[in-house]
Amino acid sequence: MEGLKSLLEDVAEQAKVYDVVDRTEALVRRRRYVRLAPAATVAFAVGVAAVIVLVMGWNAAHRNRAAGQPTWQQRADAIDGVVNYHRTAPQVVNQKEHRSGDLTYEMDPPVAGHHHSLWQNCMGDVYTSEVAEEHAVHSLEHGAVWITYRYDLPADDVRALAARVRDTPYLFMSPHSELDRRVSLQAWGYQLKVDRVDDHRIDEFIDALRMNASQEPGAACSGGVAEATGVPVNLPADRSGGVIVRPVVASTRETDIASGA
Amino acid sequence: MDDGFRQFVVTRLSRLSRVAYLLTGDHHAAEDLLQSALVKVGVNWRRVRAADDPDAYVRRVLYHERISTWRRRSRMAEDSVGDPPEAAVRGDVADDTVRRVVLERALGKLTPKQRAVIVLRYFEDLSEVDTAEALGCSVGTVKSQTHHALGRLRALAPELADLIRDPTEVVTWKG
Repeated sequence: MEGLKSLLEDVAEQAKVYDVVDRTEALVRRRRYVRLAPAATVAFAVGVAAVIVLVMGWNAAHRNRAAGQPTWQQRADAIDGVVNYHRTAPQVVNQKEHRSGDLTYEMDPPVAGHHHSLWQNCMGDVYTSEVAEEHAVHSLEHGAVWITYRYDLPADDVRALAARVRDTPYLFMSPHSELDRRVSLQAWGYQLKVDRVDDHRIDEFIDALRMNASQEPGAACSGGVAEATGVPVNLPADRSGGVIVRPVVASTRETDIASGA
Repeated sequence: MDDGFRQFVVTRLSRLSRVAYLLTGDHHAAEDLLQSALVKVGVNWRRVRAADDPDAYVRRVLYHERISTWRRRSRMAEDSVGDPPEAAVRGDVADDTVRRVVLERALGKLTPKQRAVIVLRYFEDLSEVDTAEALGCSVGTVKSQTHHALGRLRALAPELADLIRDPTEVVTWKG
């Protein structure tokens, strides 16, 4: 078969030297990286899966913990002596309009209803004179808890209450005439009346309802009425200008109590 | 990428180019074949270099690549070159150029596997065992493919028949 071999060599002579060295090298370099891609992809997928599992596990744990805990409504209802007007007087609780002038309220102190367009400041404000109910109800709508006390509450007790209230957002206190009990706490739709300021239900009420009872979550407790005159500040019903008229009367809050009045 | 791959390719380029041309019979196809085979070798270069015989590995890749390329394109037009030209054949058979052309065209009529067997056995001078290893088939297959390939070449290029005799055949002279 020597003849075939030399003929094949004749054919092979027709070949050029195909200079594919550089192109081959470039392709090999690229492929070597590409070959890493599956491993990199797997590693990435494993990482993503791990994160998903962690997040889901965390969520599940969180949900279980949440499921094991009562809602704020359940905690509020569990407080001995609390009145839930959402059940007993829903028509009142659902009144949320802005009105001007003197408004009358079914409950005393009021827990809900139409109210003045300005709210009483409730950033832990301690008022030493009565606030206008029309403003206070608006603060309740914003999620504040309003603590009222009778004038015959001993000064030490007033100071204790003030210490609890002071500087806590969405909490404010003021004296209130004609209370049937010494202390009355209000949140939107809820009320609790107690005789002693060291009653543990005060904290339970605040913990359950402060901010939670809000009808307008996120609404402010500042930028409202700062003085306590017992009557609403004189503003038209439609504050179409949107300008909040700051009261000119100096605030009477806190200083008297701090000095032991 | 200074791991000897480039050096390896440069030293083998000339010979591999000739094999690739023999396998394809076309410059573009030969270049493509060579490049894709070498890329496969390069990607696995560390393993290839560690192997006993890098050349055998490269050969295997080259021939497999050729056959699989052909399979991929089998539905397309084969590298058919038409019938061998009668006139040229009738002319001066001793003319090397004509004989080469005749063989090239005859090779073009073979299947890639038959063609590969011819190149491995009669150009690369490999034994049947080494050919079988290069093609990844049995020695028996190499034998039968060789037999068929030579038979076809003889039929396609009868004027070369005296050069293409199947050594496995028992030649009997009658009259």
